[in-house]
Amino acid sequence: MSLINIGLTGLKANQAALATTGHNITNADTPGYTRQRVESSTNPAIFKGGLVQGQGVKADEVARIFDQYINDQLIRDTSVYKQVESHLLNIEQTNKLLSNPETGILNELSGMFDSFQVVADDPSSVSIRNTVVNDIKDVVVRFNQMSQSIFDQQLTNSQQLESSAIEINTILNNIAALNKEILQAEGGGTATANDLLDKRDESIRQLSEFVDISTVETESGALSVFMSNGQNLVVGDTAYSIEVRDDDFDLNRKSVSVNVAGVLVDVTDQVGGGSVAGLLDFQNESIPEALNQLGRIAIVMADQLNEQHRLGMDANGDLGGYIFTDVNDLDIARSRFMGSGENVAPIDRVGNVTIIDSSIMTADDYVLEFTGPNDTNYEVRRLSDDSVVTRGVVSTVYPFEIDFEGVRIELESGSFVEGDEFEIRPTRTGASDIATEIERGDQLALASPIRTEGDLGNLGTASISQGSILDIYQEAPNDDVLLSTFATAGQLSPPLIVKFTSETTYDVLDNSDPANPVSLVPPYEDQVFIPGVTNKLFSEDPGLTVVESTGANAGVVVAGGTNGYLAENLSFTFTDPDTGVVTARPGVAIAANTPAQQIANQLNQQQGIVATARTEVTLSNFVDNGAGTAYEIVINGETLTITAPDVVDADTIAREVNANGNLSTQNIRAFSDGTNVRLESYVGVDITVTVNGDANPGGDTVDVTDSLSNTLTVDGGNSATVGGTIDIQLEEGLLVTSDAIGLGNIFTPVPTATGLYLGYQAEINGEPQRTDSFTIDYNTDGVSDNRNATNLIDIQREKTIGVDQSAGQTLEEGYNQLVAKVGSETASLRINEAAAESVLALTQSLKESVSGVNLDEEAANLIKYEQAYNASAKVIQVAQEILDTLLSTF
Amino acid sequence: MAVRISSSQAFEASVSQMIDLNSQMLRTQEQISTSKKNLSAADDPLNSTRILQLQQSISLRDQYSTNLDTLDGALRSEESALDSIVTNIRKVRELTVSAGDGTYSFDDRKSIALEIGQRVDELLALTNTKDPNGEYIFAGFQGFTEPFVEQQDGRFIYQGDEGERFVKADEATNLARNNPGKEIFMDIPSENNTVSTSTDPTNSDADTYITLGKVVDQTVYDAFYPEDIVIEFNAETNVIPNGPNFTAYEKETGRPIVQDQSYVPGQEIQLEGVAFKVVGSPDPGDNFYIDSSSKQDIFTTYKLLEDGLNSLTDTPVDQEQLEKLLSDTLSNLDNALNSVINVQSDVGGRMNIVATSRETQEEVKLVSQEVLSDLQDLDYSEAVSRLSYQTFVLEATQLSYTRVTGLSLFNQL
Repeated sequence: MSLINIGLTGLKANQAALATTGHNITNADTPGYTRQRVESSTNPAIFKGGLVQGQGVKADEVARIFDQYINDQLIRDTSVYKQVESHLLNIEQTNKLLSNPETGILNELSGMFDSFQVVADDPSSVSIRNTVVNDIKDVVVRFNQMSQSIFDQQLTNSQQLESSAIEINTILNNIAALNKEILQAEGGGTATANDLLDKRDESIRQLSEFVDISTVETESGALSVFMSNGQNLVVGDTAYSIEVRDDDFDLNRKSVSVNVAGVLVDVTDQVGGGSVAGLLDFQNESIPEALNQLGRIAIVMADQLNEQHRLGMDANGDLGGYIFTDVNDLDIARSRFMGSGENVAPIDRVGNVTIIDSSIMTADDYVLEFTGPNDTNYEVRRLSDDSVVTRGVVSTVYPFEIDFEGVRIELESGSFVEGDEFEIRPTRTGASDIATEIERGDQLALASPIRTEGDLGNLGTASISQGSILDIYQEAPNDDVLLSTFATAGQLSPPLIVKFTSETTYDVLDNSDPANPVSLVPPYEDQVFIPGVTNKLFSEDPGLTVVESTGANAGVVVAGGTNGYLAENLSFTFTDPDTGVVTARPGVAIAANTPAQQIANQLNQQQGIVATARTEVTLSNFVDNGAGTAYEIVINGETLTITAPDVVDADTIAREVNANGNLSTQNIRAFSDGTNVRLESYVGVDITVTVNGDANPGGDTVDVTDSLSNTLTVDGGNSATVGGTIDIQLEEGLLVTSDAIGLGNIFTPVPTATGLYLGYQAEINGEPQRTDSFTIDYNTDGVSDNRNATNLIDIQREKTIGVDQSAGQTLEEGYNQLVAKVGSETASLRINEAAAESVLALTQSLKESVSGVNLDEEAANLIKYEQAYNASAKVIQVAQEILDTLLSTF
Repeated sequence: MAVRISSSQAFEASVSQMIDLNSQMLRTQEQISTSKKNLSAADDPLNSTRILQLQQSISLRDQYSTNLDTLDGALRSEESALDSIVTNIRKVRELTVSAGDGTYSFDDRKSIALEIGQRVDELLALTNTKDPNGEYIFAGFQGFTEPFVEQQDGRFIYQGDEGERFVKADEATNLARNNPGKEIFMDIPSENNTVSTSTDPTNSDADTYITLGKVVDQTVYDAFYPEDIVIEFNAETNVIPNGPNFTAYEKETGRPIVQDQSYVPGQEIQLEGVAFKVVGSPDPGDNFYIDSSSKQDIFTTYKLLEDGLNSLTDTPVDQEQLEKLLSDTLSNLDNALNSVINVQSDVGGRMNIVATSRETQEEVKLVSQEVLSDLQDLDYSEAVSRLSYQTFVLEATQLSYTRVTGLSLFNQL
């Protein structure tokens, strides 16, 4: 009897083994399936007749051939691989977009500069001008399209994030449901729900493709799932959901949160693996970097070309306008200033971000934070390395400006309070903001608005340079207001003539009426010229002012041998134009009776000052009593004696003065109009006139008249002296005051300072002669002029990007760098992906080698279990036969 | 002990190997079809920047070559104009020499004057030459303004400016593609101190003008030089009987030279050794200028010669003047010739630079192209043999796949 039972146990056990083998074979290709094996053992033996009698076999359980450690490894490796893979898939597109000559900007960029060269060869051609404008538009379109393509990638990326969230949530719910089913199936007993466990493990593996997770199995058999930062995703049969939302700062950007019972926990920065991390990497690193770099190139190009173009003159004789939309257009400037969605109500803060020096700006984003301890303390941090670039305290008066790294934040209005955060993105939308302003070829400012000419009658060898434009517009913040020089369309206000008063001095005069040039206001005369070298004619200081000596005594004729100037102290204060810091500069003490030339020399010792002096005297009414000694007039110690046959008149005196070598070394020159002699000194020496010879009454006399028409009659043995006047040019920020009490001084207590900045420069070189003149006028009809075009071309080869951090780059080099950067990022991701993939493959094969189904093995098992089954059946047959044998004996 | 392999793993491994081989072949095939080693910057980040730089440098070279071509064209047309002008001056010089032949009569000289008049017209046409773009070669920046124009008073004025247009021959070299006519034809040193006369454009009557001034007494004028003269017409009541009269004074000082001088229409006026006429009917307030000059433009030289040959008779006084005129003219013509030849050699120099620049550009471009080719071009023989090797491996894999997967214990059951 027992033998039958023993055979039966064998039948049962082998049947189970065969069934399990069949299960294995049929699930050989089921994802996540773990091969199973029947674990069997012997039945308890019985003690019978002194023998321990075995009772056959028993199938204990169907076991999963499973290794938890390998499985955990697989989950980790999957997350690592998926992160790299999803980042790589996206950046490959960016890489192609930038590298491909058809979609990149290089062809269009160099095409535009090439066409600038072509038009510089032939600036008067309307059709070539129109081609240039089309090429400019092409560059803009390329920038716009490229940034649009990158935005589109961002959009796709966002959609991928959103669909990932949906899948993640489905998986999380599955896991929670499986936890519940497994608990029910296992019923707290020792049986294991193999297939359910497989399903749950497979769900975990799928989840690890999206995010990196860790799991803990509770004693009850439920599996808890955590994110790497410890955030619960599944606890028992409860699943939390993942939500993908718009970023606080940026609607185009997504953030990831976990919804824990209605409370959203932002985990964007904590996702450390899986495809979601890869997508976030692409969104938060690759895209901003590419857009910022590209945006910076667009901004620098637009700004530099605009700035240069606005120094030129177009084919209609008008001043150059904007080629591209102003990079500091208010709408654009405001879009660079983004308040955090978490700033407290009311949301009323208005600010903008302008570019003040495009060549030194970085491609970084910044955060402006009101750090406290009160509402006025702020800090600006660079996002790339989180370092503080500037901090300070805002005034309560808006607008308030914060300058750093070539960029200016202007807080316009609103209730800024502690805790406010603003993201400052100077370059992000640069490539999409750029737009063409210029419409037609004739608006291209290829010429320079001024031209210079030497007079045909010039006797010397001096020549004037073609002139260059420094500024057309006033300094910021009035940088859209024309300098007075260019304020009237189509002309220079005023046109200038440079007249040489000697070989070493020149006057710059208003040449509006060429027959009668007049002084500029303020005057710009008696400038020193150094023959043989290049002399810049004008100051290049936009803040230059001129103070004239207009005190009561200045240039007034007085009796005696001195000019009668009282002692006077001049003080100077300097306000730094950049910082606003006021400092005192050393003063100048003028002793009484100092000649203007000497005062000018004293002043010229000072920093930031150019002083010039001039003296003018008119002599008239030359009366020779005809008796006694000959007519003798002494000018600055030089005695001029007029003897017959020369007659005492203006012509004779003037000729004598001009023939006197000592007087010409004092730079004194005489001009006679037949009646009067005008004496001029271009260096401002005192001019003392003494009459020798016969004394009054009835003696020799001369009338000495100053430039204010005061006259003194000088008679025999007496003198009259006229002192010079002074013009002081003061650099930007420099102010002069005097302790003059009014009467008797050369300067007034608070001399009026008048601005004198022309906005252009010209140089004269060579050796001019007296009376040589040069004119500077508006470049009317200058259709063949290409000077500004040449300057525009030069921008192509200039280092205009990032010159603060390094030697800088040209526009094209900037783009090369962007291509190389994205290229090498892609290349390194490719390597990482290949590495992660082979690691994953290794782990997968490890898992498969433990848990996978080998069909040959199962076939062998099938044969083995079949044979064992047959053998067990044979045992029953034998037992039957034994029984039959036994029965037949009866 | 051998590693256990699951059946699905065995399949997958082979399949993924084949996929790998497929993508490698596709890449090789793409390389062959584009003839580039690298299909994007990521394929060779190290060299991608250099490749871009070289491409930019080559495109810039091409642009410079184009610039040099147009520059060469412009210089050639300037050179040919200058060539013709030199011929013109030489011809006038020959005529001047022949006019000095003592056997020539007044009438002979008149016929020479006639030919000189034609040469003036020819010179005017040559100096107003346009380039193929329709711009006047010698007008400076004012390419659409006719640079040399004859006034009704016989003077020639220059309406252009001193602008020189520069073209980039390479990064560092800017070459002028034109010479303003002023420096070539106007700023010519004169043998003697001389004058240039002009009529104030604001005068009441545009048909009243001052004629070309001539220095008739060089000694007197040299003593006066370098002062300028202003001639101002006064109220008719200044003289008795009332009539047009003028005052002449020194421009800078206002010193009078003559005062309230009665004006006789058409009569020659002489001041400080300078002779001229005021033609027309001057009104009170009209101004005329006689500016001193050390230069004499080529047209004035021609014109003075033409006038002299037409007016100086065979009288001894006139003969003396004629002699001086001819010798001055010869010197002034030589100066003019020098001026033109100087510019010509300057143009020739620039053409040489253009030629050498072009060679340099071509050489640099060639070298850049070679380096670029090394960096980015595909080695075809290597790529093709790689492709056939990859094909071979794929075929082998496919074959072994079918063999291996065909084996199964189940086949034996």
